[in-house]
Amino acid sequence: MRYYETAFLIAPTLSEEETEQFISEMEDVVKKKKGRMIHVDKWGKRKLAYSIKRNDSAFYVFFYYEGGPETYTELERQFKQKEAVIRYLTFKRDEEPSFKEKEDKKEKKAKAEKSIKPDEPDEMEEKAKPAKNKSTKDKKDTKEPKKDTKEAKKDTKAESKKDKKEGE
Amino acid sequence: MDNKRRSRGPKRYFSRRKKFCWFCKNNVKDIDYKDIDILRRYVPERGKIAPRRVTGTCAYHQRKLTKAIKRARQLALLPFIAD
Repeated sequence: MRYYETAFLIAPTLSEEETEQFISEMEDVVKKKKGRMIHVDKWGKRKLAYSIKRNDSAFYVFFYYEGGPETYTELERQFKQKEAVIRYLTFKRDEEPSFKEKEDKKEKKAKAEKSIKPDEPDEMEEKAKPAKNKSTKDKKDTKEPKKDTKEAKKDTKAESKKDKKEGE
Repeated sequence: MDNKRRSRGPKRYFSRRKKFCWFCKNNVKDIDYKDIDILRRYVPERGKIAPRRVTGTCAYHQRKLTKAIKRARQLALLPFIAD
């Protein structure tokens, strides 16, 4: 027995009831073929990155299940027969997919992002600027605070780049 | 710092920030093809996969990334080509 993950797209021409019915039918197929459903993920209607069979959007469904090879071959056979299924893909998974962990990760990420943002080096800049103004009298002293400002600038640049990447 | 640099060769006008693999930093083991928000960062406007030298991703995660992006493309989550 193996863990599988099957993703399939249902054409938007089907009504909501029909899609729900179709999904439950497919779940029954998995059960009939000695498969054990772990999780069903429904994303709902989504815009496609490119049109498939003249459809611009589709209903995304993900099945996570445990079963033998006959389970997913039967599923794919059903998909081939149905015209409403625009596309499907099956992946093997080595470990049992756990859905509690994913949610935890999302929460952690959100927390981490929040904790990073207030740490921006505002204090550093504030310290560096007055030092620069004061030290104009002595040449020897000027070099050191300038370096500080440079480093501070580097830090700010690095952080801004990070932010950009995250933004993208 | 400046003196040391001059002795090594032509003067460098800026220092490159060392890039670091985002996935190593965040302890990501497997890259899922469904995390489109993450994948989008590595697919610039044209829809091509950004090379390692641009993003700083490590070899291990770049391999996982390409696989995830290609899977996402098959499911129309990401474009093959965008213009």
